[in-house]
Amino acid sequence: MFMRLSWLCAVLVGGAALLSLSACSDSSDVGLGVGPPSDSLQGGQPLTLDVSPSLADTARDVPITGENARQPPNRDAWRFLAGTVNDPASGPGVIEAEGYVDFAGRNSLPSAIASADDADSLTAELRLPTVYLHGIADGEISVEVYDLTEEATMDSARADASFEADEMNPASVSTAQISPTDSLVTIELRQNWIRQNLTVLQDTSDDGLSFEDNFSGFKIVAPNSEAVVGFSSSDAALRLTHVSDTASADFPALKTFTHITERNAASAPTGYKLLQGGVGAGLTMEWDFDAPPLDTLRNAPLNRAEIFVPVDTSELNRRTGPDFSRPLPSGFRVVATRHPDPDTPSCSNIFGVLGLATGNRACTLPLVSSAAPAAALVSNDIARPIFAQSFRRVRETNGTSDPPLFTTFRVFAADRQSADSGSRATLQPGLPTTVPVLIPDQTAPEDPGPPRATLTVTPL
Amino acid sequence: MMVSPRPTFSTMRDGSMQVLSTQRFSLFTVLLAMTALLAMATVPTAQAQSNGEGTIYSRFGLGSLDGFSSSQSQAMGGGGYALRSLNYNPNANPALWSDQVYTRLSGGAGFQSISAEDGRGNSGQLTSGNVQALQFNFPLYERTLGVGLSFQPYSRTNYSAVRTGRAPVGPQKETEAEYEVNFSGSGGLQRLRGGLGYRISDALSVGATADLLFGIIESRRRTQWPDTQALRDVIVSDGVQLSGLTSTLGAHLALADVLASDDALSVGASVTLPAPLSGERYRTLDEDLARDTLSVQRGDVTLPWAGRLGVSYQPNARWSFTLDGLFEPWSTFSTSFSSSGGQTSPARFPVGGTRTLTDRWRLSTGAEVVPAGEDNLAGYFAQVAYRFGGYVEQMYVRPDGQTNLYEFAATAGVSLPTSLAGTRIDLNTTVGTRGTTSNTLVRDTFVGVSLHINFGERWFQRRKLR
Repeated sequence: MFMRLSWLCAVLVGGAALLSLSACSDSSDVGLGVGPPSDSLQGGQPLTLDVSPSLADTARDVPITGENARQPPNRDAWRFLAGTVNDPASGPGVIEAEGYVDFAGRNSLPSAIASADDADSLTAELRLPTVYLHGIADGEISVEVYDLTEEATMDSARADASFEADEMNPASVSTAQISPTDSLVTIELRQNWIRQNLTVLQDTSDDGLSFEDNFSGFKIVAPNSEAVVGFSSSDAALRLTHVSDTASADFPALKTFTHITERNAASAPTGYKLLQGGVGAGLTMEWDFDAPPLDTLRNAPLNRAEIFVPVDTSELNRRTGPDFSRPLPSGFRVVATRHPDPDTPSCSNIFGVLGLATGNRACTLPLVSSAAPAAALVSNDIARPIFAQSFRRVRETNGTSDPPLFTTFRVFAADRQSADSGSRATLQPGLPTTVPVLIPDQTAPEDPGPPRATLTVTPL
Repeated sequence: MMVSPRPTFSTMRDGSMQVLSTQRFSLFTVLLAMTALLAMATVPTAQAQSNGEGTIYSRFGLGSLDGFSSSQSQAMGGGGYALRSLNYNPNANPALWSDQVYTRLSGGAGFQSISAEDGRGNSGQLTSGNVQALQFNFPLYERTLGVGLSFQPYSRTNYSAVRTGRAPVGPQKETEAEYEVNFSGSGGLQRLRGGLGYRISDALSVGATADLLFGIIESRRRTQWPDTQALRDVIVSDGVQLSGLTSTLGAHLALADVLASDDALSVGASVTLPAPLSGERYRTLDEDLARDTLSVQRGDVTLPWAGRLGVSYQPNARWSFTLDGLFEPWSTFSTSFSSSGGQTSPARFPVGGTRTLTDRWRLSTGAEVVPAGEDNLAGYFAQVAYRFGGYVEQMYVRPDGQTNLYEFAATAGVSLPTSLAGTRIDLNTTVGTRGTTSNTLVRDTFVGVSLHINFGERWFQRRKLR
């Protein structure tokens, strides 16, 4: 028996060795030309082509500019804006921003402040670290601060909302001015305002909640300025200081909001489409799968796809004077609208990722964050399912076809704290901004070219 | 006068019987082992007992035809249509199955290396491994009526060729990536055969089989990106799935004392009937579970008949000689698959149309010597069988429609006796060339080795009393 198994093992090992030797192949192009020309081994060469969408500057999506530090979602590095700017890139368009800020109460105060009977023994000021400047940077900006007349729900409020303020009685001193290039600006409040609100300011009951119930916050405007200044929401504070004791108490900002309006309609320079931050003016892109070249690609296997929306930053810079400051947006937001056909799959089914759905029919597409500010780029991971599945749907099967997945793709400026915040961060609303973005249209020269889907296909 | 096949190898005179259960254990063990070997070979390509890459000519017709009959005949040029042996049950002629004493299980695996060269001096190295056959035979009536079952490839498609290039990718025009277009073939037709061989008289035997042909022949074009994961591979497959029945009829005439005393002359012939196969061809995108079928078309093909004629001569117990011929009129191959030519339509079948097929013929000759003859007491190496042979073949494919292609090869092998009565292990080799480098064609120079086990034991027979 031992002898038999030895033989058997030897044979099996030998047979296995013969089969495994087949891994030594080195394929080459030898043989590619064998056969009649009509049936030779050909094809398979990939082809990359740009497919331009139809463009329209009809997209409007007023952005969220309100934030409450105690309410989710917690948005880092949020800011609120105040001022007016006429950006040369926006044509005649004038953007006006009004900032709103409300403060958190305190559960204790320095004794000198808590026991102060006379408002004259105290001073009050808004301390606002600046984090954003858009407009003419030199010179001072006159600002006015008003009391809000009622508690404002700023949480996730959109930029077209507004809250009532007592604009007959400014809270700030009449000579309040700020220098927009300072890293910290202070706005002194009137003694009269302190006197009127002394009781509220000294109220530490209910861990400060009583203060918050009775103090509604401020509206900050700079109507005659030539720049919009942004203040850090997390670091803004209302500071009370005892004159003789030098004791001080800061009330940190709790809620902030920016109301943004467009005074004159902005218009893009010839050859460009305009994304206008703040007012939510975006770009609408549509790809027609029934028109060339997409109608010829229905059966073409897709190797790669990207959606590329270039920004002509050099043209933006060219339209900037020496004293004009304009930050480039560190991000964009692309929202795709699903076709109303009831059989259109959901966002999560299309992309295999949860958390992209925005409303009933919209999917927010993750972007390559590092592509900003030069471009809004939808990577292959996201763009390929869009086109591959759309091709599959529009391809006729048994005489019928379905519509493509999406009807429109809308692109908006959505500023970020940094461009390297990751693709997941590009799903979130952008920071309040007023900057314009110039997107080359179809008449643009080859570099950077118009918005396009770049598809690499391997024709059948 | 009855002419028995010579008990060439000591196993014939095995009067002592072994315990039946032990015999079964041995045979089942071998059966399981061979099944494992078969499974190992079929994992990479589900439709064929082949692994690796072979000749570009397997792209045409139904692929490379596999005419394996037995490991003995393979080492003797591949014919042996009239060669009788109690240690082998040649598949090519079912009449030879009448000469059975042992229940026999045979299987083998082979490896082939091909160096392909074209007219421009370019060359490529291709290797493949494959299971050659699994055969099971047993006598119903010893030396009178035998049964044969076998499973083996009928044809094999395993070509591979690569084209490389660079292509711009992404929205930035200057960004390029290297790509490879890999053209490959896989699969083939398999043949499941069952049949009988019957000795009508001392001199004449006949046999018949029922053959089920089935399988998938697939050509694949894969565009891939070796340097980046950012681009998805595209795999377009054109396949044809066929199945159908045919039959092989054989006859064998054995004569003794023809040229000398105690010599044996045999003449064998077999005919395989035309095989009508039906099935469908298809084109798909992607692979495995993500496959997307682009189109399907039903159709029929008819494979031509095949005729084989062989002569073998055994002047004494030491030597055997064979001379064989085969003819298959592939010019009569017909198909109802149309070539619609649409983007999503499958590629034409056969590739290039029927004009790429021509009649196949094959001439082979071989010899075997066993130095010990019938001397069971001779030394081990004297009991080894030494075989050699050669063949010339006009291939049935003619890719350019005008140039006939030929294959020339020399074969050799040794057959090693084992301690198991009726069991031998064979090691064969083939060296040859096929094709030409003219007219954009390719010349293959190939070297192959194969290992076979031919396991035989007596079953279902009464124990003899000593």
